[in-house]
Amino acid sequence: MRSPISSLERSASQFTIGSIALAVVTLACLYVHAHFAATAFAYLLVVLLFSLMGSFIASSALCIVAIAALAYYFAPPAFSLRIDDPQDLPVVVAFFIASIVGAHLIGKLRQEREAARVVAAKLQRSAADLEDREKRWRAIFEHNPAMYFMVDEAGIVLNVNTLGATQLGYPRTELIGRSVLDVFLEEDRAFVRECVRTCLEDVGQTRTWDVQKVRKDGSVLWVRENAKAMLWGDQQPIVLIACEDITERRRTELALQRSEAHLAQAQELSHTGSFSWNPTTGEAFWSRETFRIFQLDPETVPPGPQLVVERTHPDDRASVKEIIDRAMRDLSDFEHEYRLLLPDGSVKHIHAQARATRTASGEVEFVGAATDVTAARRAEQQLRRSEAYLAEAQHLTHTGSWSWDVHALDFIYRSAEVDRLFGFDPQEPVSIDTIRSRIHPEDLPLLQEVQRQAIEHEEERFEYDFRILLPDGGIRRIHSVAHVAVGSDGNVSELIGTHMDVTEQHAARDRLENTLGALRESEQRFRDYAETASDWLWETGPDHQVTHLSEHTSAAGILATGLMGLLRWDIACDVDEEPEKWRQHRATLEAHLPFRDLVYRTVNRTGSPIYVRTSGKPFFDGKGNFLGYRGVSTDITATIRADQAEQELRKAQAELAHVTRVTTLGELTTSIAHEINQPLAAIISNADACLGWMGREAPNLPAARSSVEWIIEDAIRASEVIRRVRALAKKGEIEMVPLDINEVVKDVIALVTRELASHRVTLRTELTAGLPTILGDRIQLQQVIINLVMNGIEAMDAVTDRTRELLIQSSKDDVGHVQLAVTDCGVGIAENDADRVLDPFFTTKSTGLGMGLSICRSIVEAHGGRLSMVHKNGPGATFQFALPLHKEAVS
Amino acid sequence: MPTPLISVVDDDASVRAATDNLLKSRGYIAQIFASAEELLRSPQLDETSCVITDVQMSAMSGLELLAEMRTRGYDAPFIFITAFPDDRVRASALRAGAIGFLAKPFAGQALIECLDTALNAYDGRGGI
Repeated sequence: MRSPISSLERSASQFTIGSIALAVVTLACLYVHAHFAATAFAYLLVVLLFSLMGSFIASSALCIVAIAALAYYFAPPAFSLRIDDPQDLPVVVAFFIASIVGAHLIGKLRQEREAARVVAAKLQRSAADLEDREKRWRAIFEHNPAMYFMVDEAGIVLNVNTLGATQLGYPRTELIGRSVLDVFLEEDRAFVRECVRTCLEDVGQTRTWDVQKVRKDGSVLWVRENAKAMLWGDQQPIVLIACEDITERRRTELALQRSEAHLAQAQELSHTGSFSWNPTTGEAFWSRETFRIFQLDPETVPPGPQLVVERTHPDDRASVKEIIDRAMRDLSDFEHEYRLLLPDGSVKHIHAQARATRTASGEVEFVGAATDVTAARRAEQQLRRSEAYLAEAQHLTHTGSWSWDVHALDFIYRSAEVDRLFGFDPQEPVSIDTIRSRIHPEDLPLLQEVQRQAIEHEEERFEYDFRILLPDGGIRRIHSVAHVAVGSDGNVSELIGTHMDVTEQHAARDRLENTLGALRESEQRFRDYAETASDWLWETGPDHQVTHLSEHTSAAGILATGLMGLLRWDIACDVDEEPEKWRQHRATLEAHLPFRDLVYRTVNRTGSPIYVRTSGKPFFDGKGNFLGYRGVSTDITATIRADQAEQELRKAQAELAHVTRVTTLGELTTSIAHEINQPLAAIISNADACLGWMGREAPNLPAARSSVEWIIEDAIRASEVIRRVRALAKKGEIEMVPLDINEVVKDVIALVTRELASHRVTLRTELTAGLPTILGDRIQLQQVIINLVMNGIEAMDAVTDRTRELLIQSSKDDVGHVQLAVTDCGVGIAENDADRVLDPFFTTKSTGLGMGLSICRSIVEAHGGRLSMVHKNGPGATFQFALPLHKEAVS
Repeated sequence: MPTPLISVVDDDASVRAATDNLLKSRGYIAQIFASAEELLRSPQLDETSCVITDVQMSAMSGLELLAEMRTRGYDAPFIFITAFPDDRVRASALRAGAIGFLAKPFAGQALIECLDTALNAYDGRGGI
């Protein structure tokens, strides 16, 4: 459409140019004096010509102007608008009609041509537009970041966009014409076919599904397919499929799922539940683990701080409430630890920590975690206890433990005992230099070298000793055992070890070494003694067979050869002669008792008889098992020969003793008679009394019975006295039997009582109970004691100014022998006589033979003892003798 | 007449007991002492009508006891019994005023006769 203004402009210019053309035609016609009709025709041409310019109004105006000009110039009257000539009128009218119609027709033609042109232009524009749009769509199809597939009913790819083909690693042309199923996994093809079928069943309805596609190279990608069936121009259905690569999203989802699973797992494993809580809305979220920790059912209980408070241990409830209140008030992060009291009565320790965060809507929300730290708390307690125990144990054993950082050159850990060992105050900071200053300067280089070597060779275990110089000047010896620890970089990072205080052990070892040295020396000394002695050492096993003999015995020819493995009674030659001796010896051996001085006869290497005296002692292992005997033997052949000679002498002495004894007996006769008469007097009196009791009018039988009982007692007493006297008077072989010296003394006292009484002598005895038995002849020993007592009694005869007291004492002497002493308080022995008093025929008595003490001495010596006189302060004299013990004598 | 009290002194326990037994069986009242000193200390000393005593005793002999009692003014008769029938001792005993001197062992009847003599003499003297 043209605008009215431009059409008006065009009309004006049409009219102006037309008017000028008319003026030119007028002038030309005037010039040539053209005919009216011709002029009208010329005018008509101009009007029609200018009507081509378009405006009907301008054309009409030009027509009017042309008529006016015609009427004015060419119709008579000239120069007037009047037309007189009637002939001209039809021309004017024709002209008018022709110009109007012509102008109108031309205008109409122009309009139609204009319309056609507009239509053509429009068409042209529409085609271009279409092409443009198609190009644009194709570009979209081609370059859309989604894969597009167009497939027909049979699933053949009709088209695919470049991206789609490229994504799958194909050129477009290769995919077109193939079955779309080729780009799916074998196992998914049925599913894809089914999807396509559903699309085709419901044309126009979009379907979506996720599936995996296979690239040409075999790799797989996840896609989400949006598909829709459409009918094309020929009513053939096609399926248009847009695929979105969701591999990433899928991976993200999977990762998210995994991450959530991991989180749940992690929560479960770490006993950490997470929670969130919006104090404004009251909304709360608890993770499963949180519920589990609180032992609550997520299905039935809405989570929230109230629940926490309910579950909290009553002792901790106030503090938990306060923490929650403060968090709500200040909207600030919080962290606390508290205990839960669970329905089953168990107690859990919870560490909860929350951070205040802003939600998208600007509200504060607490997000946090609650960890069940029960195990940790228990472990801590356990650890604390363990540490206490360890510290105690270390203290008790004087063992400190430590760990040394070889890079930082500092202790990573050092038990209190280490400080104590080094003599440090626990509060005092300890540097490497302070430590070193306490180590004995002589030991420091070695210690450092050992550690250096250990680090270099990564030693599993190494040990070293060093000394600590204590501030008080003392020295502590340390035995250290350590090993290296290798860090993550494969290098030695730590030395871990113990310091043990071995000062005492060292001292003990020194003492032991000294003792051992002394022992070795002593052993050597005894070995020397043994090897140089004429005695020989022997050893028998548990079966009493000889297992060892000191070497020099056979070399010296003392013993026959080939004694090893023999029994002692196989070696001896007097077993048959003295069965009792050997029976006793074997009993001693079986009882594993020590024995001393067993004398037996055997033969030497040359077959001559020899006498051997042997002593032995059983030995046992640590558990007390009997292992055999060890002992020493001596060749006493020479001694025995001497003894035999002495036996003869002794016999003679015995004869002499008997003589003396009988003599003494004579002296004692009065005493003895008295001893017998006493019981006899009692017997007769009691017998008379008995008769008296029975002869009463009412006989007193109990009194009579008592009388008879006393008679019996006294008769026994009398016969005992007679026995003693007979024994004393007996002349016979010496009979060596085990004796209790106190019994012997008592026998003697019974015989001398009256003698004591008649001499007004008080007897005092100090007899030690439980003395060991001695081996001796009872009568001979009685003889000795009677002699000593009688001598004592006589020695006090002259005493009138004091109590005459005789003291008999039995005791054990310094070497354990039984000792008997008789002490009087008489005149004593003159200093000059003291040495001779025991000699034969020496006497201080006017009537004495001088044989008594001499014989006593012989008897005592024959018993292996010694008789002596003891000088005492004050008046009187003490004679005493000591006798060896029974066991010593027998063995 | 009150029953006479007899004091027996002997350091041999069985003789002491036997003598006591004998006297009692014959209806006498006797008291026994292990030594002369014991009798001298006894509160019954005054009531003693007769003393039967051993001669040999460790601290104070029977003769010394007799002498002591006479010194103290007691005139109770004495009968000596002894296992040492020494003539010398016997003579000195009788000289010292003893009624009897019996050697152990003695027959019971002998002691009783001796005792009766002593008591009669003691009693008879009292009757003069």
